[in-house]
Amino acid sequence: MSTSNSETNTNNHPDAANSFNYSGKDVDLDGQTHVQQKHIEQEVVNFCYVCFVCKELMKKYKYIRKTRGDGNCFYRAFGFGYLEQNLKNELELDRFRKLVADLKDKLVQLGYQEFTVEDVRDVVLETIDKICQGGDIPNLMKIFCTQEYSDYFVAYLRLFTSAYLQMNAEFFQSFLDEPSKTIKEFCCTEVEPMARESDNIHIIALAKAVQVSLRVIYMDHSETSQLTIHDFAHTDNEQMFHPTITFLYRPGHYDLLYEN
Amino acid sequence: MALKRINKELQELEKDPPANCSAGPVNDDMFHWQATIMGPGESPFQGGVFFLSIHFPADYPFKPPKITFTTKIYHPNINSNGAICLDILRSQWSPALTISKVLLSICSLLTDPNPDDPLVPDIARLYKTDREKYNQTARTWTNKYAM
Repeated sequence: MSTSNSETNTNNHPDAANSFNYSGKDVDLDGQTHVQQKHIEQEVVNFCYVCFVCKELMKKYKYIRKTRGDGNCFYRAFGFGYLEQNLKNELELDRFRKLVADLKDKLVQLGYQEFTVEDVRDVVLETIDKICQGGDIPNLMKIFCTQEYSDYFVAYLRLFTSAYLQMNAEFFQSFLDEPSKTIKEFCCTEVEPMARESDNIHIIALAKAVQVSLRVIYMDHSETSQLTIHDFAHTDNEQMFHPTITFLYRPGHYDLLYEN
Repeated sequence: MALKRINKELQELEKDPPANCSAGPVNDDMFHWQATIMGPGESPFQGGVFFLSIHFPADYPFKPPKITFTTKIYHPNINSNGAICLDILRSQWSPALTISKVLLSICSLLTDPNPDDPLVPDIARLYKTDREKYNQTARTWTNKYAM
């Protein structure tokens, strides 16, 4: 953050600006100075915002885990964060394993080819088993950094999201930015292809589909005096909300946050 | 893992072949296939047999297969190199899709070209303005190159 700010400031420095032309006669120096001043003010506002958010985050979170920025970050962060939280929780992992196994039949009902879904499902089940056997974070990290395992996991989480959206199409139809699209079309173009980024609708669907509560802290200037927090509960009973995974969102990217 | 998936696709194709299409490995290389499509009945490609080459990327099914026509064809969405402009072969590819599904989509593209997203603007223009002449040229090409 600080690097990019200082670079921008250097560019805005009057000595470095090429737009100043002292030899010209009709140059509106006041106007140009004013424009630059506005630029600098905006930079200061941005910088203050970043400082503010960092300070607020540090009160509650001890560290951040960076996710690969390839358009799959939400799903990859979800998969890693979920398994990391439940590494020793056999009961929860059994529940998840059952959801993973059952999703295949739902997808076949929705018209997917059985053998492709089976192919992805089997690798995901194998991945969960490997993670359980290893039982520690370095092992989980190793598996999640192995492209095949990690990508299969992402692909299946995308299918979880897609199936949930399709099975609740009527409810989600009103959320679409392009109302002329059907939910099925939305899933084919915006959910299932790898590297397609995630929005609120994807997050709601995945949280509900796998029944895991999520929190997203937005660092997108939507609020400047407090942190913007969105909670995605997996049930409608929100009284005892406690997120299993917390994400930090900066426009276009999700990372994981860890509470103190 | 790509190899495992490609083998499964081959088994499925043999078990349940899609209408008017076939596909399989060229030699021993499972990552390089050849496919054929019979020109659909309700199109100017009727009676033609079109060959396509399929290359699977190493990270298949996370990246789409590379599919090109090796038989010359007169079509708004297929250029002279055989490249095909089809959304599911590019941005809308998903790991849940298969070669079989893609071949079926190519068959529908032969019947219903998409002139609003053309790869060959001249053919698209003719398709939109003089359908009879388009059909005639496409039939001539089919007779000349695909029979």
